[in-house]
Amino acid sequence: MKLEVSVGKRLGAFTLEAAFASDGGVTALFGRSGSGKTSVLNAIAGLLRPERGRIALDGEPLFDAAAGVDVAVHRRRIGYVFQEGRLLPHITVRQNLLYGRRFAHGDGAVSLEKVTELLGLASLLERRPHDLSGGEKQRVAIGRALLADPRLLLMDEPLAALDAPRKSEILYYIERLRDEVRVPIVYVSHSLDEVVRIADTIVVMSEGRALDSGPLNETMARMELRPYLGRFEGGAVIEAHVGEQDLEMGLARLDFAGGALYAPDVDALVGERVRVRIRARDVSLATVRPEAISMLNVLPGTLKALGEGAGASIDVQIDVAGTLLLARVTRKSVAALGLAPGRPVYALVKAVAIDRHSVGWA
Amino acid sequence: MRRATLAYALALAALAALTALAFAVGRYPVSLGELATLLAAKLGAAHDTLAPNVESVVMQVRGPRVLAALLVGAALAAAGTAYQGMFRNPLVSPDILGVSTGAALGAVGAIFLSLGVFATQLFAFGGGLAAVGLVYWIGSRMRGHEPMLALVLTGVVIGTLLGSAIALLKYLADPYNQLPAITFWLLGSLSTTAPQDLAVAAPFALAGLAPMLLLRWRMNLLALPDDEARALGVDTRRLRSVVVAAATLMTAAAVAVSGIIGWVGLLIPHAARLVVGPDFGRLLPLSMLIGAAFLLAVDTLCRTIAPIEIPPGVLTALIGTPFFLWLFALSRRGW
Repeated sequence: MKLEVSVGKRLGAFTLEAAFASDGGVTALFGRSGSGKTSVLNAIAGLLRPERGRIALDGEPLFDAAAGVDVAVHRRRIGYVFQEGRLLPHITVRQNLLYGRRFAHGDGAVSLEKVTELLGLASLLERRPHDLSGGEKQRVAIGRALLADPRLLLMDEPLAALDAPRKSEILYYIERLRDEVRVPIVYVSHSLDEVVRIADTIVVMSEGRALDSGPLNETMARMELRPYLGRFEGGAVIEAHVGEQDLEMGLARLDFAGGALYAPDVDALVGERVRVRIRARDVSLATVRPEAISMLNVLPGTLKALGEGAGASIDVQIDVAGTLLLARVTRKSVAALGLAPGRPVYALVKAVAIDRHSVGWA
Repeated sequence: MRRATLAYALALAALAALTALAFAVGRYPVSLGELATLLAAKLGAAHDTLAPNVESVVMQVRGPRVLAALLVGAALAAAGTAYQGMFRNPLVSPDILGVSTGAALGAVGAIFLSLGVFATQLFAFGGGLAAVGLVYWIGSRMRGHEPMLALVLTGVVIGTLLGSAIALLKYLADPYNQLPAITFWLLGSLSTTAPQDLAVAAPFALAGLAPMLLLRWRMNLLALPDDEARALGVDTRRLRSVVVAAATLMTAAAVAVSGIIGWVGLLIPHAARLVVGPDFGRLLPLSMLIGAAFLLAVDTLCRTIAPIEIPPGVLTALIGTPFFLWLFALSRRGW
């Protein structure tokens, strides 16, 4: 699957100007509320007509202002899962799911059985929407969209209306969609937790513009995007596999290119691939290897770049044997330690800072 | 499902009983035995031993009128069901886009010009279609508004305009000949229905019904937000225009036969929905059955309870208002 998007449109106070490409998997449109994420999604779906640009799926144009192409919404074969999935109230979950199939234009590659199994809907099939929790409704809405045999699935903050346990439940199912059905997904979110868990490609949006896009781990480590990726929650994302599970201590050893990382409560088996976000604010720096400290993760590396800014703290990019980490430290420390690009440093990460929200399946 | 089956059975039984009753009662009573004999004779199962005036009362006088009540009742209820589904609003009637007002203006215009009965019906039919066409044309050009809202508001505004045109014609009409005829038409009546009226109106009503039956699955999706229905692969704009056209055709055909009979298209779908729920495929047939039975009952009352005929539009309002308020208070759940 190859999705190419390049759209422009005046929208009230701001101008939408977004261009990015994706090679499948989960593409996250990330940005604050009002940054134009949903507008981009609606343009892909055909619900919003851009003034200029081109949208193509596998080379086939869905919209092309220059060529005068604008495929109608119902002919695009694009599934859409909205913030709050609306189901038809008077019919059962099974009938609601089959409504997806009824108007499908494709050959129906995904069966009702498969969708039921994949989204854990078996026990819900004969129930009515008003008996379902928000998370269950959303799973049915995803199932309905899948059964329409979409070439691409759009999700507009599908977890926004759910509480935290439901969120992580749905994220698990979206991970399964990504890994098992391999339906490409464009996912809109302002939550870095969600994006980090499921996205392969991230498009960073601000004030109607797509600032940058690329593979998640590369983009997350980019210094110049730090202001847009959440100073508090942001940080590098590394891919690793579970090298060891110490059940007695409840710790997992996650091996990655730059070494090993210990993290608690990792819900994955030895050998499985995971992705880990290490928040910049959870990373400390030392110029000599510290002794007798509680931090389990001491990663030797080289300081690659120093961020700019006049505030108390700045961002530092560290190269740990090819893997980029981000640290957020005070300017006072930078001065005191004489930190500068090229300087060998140790990146210190508290194992307990890597919580379950920071780890997902790769 | 069993509830729906029971509702269909009850409605059918009521319809059959009311039909028999409608044939039996009136200024010239016909017994059920005579009706049965006549039916058997018509089916070729027995010899006709009845007095000839019994046959003429049943076949020529009451027959067209009963059929007209069934047709108009079912058509108005079907159109109301479609509109309520499309607008996601149980307070909507087939008149919302101006079909009745347009038909009324057409009929009043024809009466004003003394054009005769057939022209009055033709003008009513054409006026209804033209009014909705105008509303739809203007409403769909209101960009930047929610399309359904734009349509309803345009319908209300155009309806008011047509209403004042009717008022003007009434004011200008000859108060001794034309004005009573206009008033009579505006209150609706089935008393003058001729068999050929039905032969003309029925095909149009059926032509409007066919797309509704074929589109019943899609109709349900109109309960979802527009974006969601479109993303599921339904061309909602085209669906809406087909539904408007079908419902308008049915209503215009009915109104051309009967004049304006209010309340049926508002009340009946609402009542039917309380019984079988909003699934269009189940709702439409029940709504039509109840609509036919209701209007037949109303028309039978109109011609029997008083020495003079009462206009059915008056009676539907008298029954409809309290019944509707009661239903409205009863139903808590929204769409």
